[in-house]
Amino acid sequence: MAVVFPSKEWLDELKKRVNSDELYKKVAANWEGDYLCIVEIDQEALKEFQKPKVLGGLISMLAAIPKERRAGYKGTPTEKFAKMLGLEIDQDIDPSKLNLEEMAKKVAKIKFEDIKGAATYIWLDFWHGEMRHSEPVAPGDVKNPRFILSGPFSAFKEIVLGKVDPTTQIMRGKLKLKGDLGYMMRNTAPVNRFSQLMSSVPIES
Amino acid sequence: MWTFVSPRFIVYGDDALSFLEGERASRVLIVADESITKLGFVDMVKSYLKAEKIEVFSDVEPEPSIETALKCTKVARDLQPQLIVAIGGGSVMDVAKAARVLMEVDIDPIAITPFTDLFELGYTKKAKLIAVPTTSGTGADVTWTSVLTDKAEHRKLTPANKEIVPDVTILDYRVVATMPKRLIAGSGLDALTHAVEGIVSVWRNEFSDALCEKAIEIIMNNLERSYMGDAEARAKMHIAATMAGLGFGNSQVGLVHSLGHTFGAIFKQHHGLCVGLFLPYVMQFYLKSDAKTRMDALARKLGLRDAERFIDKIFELMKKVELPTKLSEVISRESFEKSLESLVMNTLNDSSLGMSPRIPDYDQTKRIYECAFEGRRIDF
Repeated sequence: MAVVFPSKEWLDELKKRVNSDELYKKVAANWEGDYLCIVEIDQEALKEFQKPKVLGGLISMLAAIPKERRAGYKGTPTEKFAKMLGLEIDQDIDPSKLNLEEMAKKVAKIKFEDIKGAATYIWLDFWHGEMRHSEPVAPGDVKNPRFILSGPFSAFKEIVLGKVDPTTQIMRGKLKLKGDLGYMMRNTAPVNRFSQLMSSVPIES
Repeated sequence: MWTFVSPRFIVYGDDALSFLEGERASRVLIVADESITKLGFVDMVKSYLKAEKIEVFSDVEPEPSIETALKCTKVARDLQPQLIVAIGGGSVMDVAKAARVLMEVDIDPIAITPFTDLFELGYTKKAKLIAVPTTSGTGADVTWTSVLTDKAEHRKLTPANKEIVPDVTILDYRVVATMPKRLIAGSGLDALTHAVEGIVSVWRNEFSDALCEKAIEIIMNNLERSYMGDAEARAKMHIAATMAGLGFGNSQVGLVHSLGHTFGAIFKQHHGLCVGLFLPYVMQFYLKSDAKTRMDALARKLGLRDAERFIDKIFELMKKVELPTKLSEVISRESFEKSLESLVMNTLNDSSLGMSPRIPDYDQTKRIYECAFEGRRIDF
């Protein structure tokens, strides 16, 4: 079943695929490390979020973070974006009770400049062939991730659609990678297999 | 956004080393190996330099280790050269490329990655680097990668960064005139592999295509002649190797190198021989990928019917220059079988793999090794 990106559903499906993949288990048997992905909302994202289902996916990410752990978003452009949609960062959010049609119409009126810097944070944590965490987080929630991968929504979207791999996006300057790069260069098999699995999740656009 | 990386100057000809006469550095480090020193090439380089202080680091071994790069770094740190001249094959140039960075930045060599901001870490490019290749194959004189062996893990690692490319490469035909036949063959196949991998890489581009195509044409027409002692063909091969280096250096190598690096590190075989051994088998594996169209087009440019005929032609060329065409001619079945699991895992962890047009999974990698061992055609 196709899912929207980014969404809690997408993260759950990704985790399911990684943890049921025998090849990943084999090639990542020694891998220890997590990624904090910072997906910055760009103009393409604003266009995508005018689709109620895609917007619902984004909101499901926020809703999945317990409200007491959303403090990192306070005072950020992301909080401003949420407010423009009629959401408070620290409120209980039930995406099924929201009028996504109306909220998507509000997105159409938002100018990119007004929310520049807004982003959604994703934590992907791997340990000896297993994906332990695949979840949305707030800024500052994950201390000292081994890698930080950041860049605009459009660059991440190309990866999850399987149009391009993460290494290429970094080489093209579309994404930035920081962290223990030497470790990554020694362990490219888990990285490559994970990329393949990530692009295998069918995406609804 | 993409960038094309190359040295500032490519100096070539019968007297190309005289370019060094214009260098004004007062402290120079020459990186070489024992055989290059014995052949008198280090003295030849010295004769062109006007520096007050010249030190020579000649402890580079074939398929050099990380430890060797660190030893060379220590010499460089003590001397603080303004110029490093690397004269030798790929091993020498790879050590010099790493030492040039490490003399300024104290990091694990493998932390020199394409994503590392070396300037942020304090790198200022204090020393200019001039490469003088003495074999015609590696392309290391113009690429931004360095291949070092991790002896503990028996695998090759590839520190890479656009800032490590040499500033100048000098292609002096005199230094390849006496190259041993075994090296002519091995390094020639290395150059051919670079050009073919560069042309099918997922990062291929118009610049790399042009360079790789021309390099393949020159190599296919001149390797055998160079092997038989033709001086003009030898000079052409020297140019073609650097041309292929410029090509693949800007589109990257793939599966052939992942297999070759791994095999070479475990069985301590010459790099050119290793990649040459795997080239035709990997091309067979690529026949079931988008790369087939590109290989077909390339074959037609060479006057051949299609990619399959091109592969046959490579096998023929390997035989003509007396290179093995299957792994069983190099290692025993027992040692092959004992190492197969490590061969497969290290191949899958090789950083070149990601740029291959078709990436094999675990089982396919194993089958590729088995076919290459037995000389069986790959049809999966």
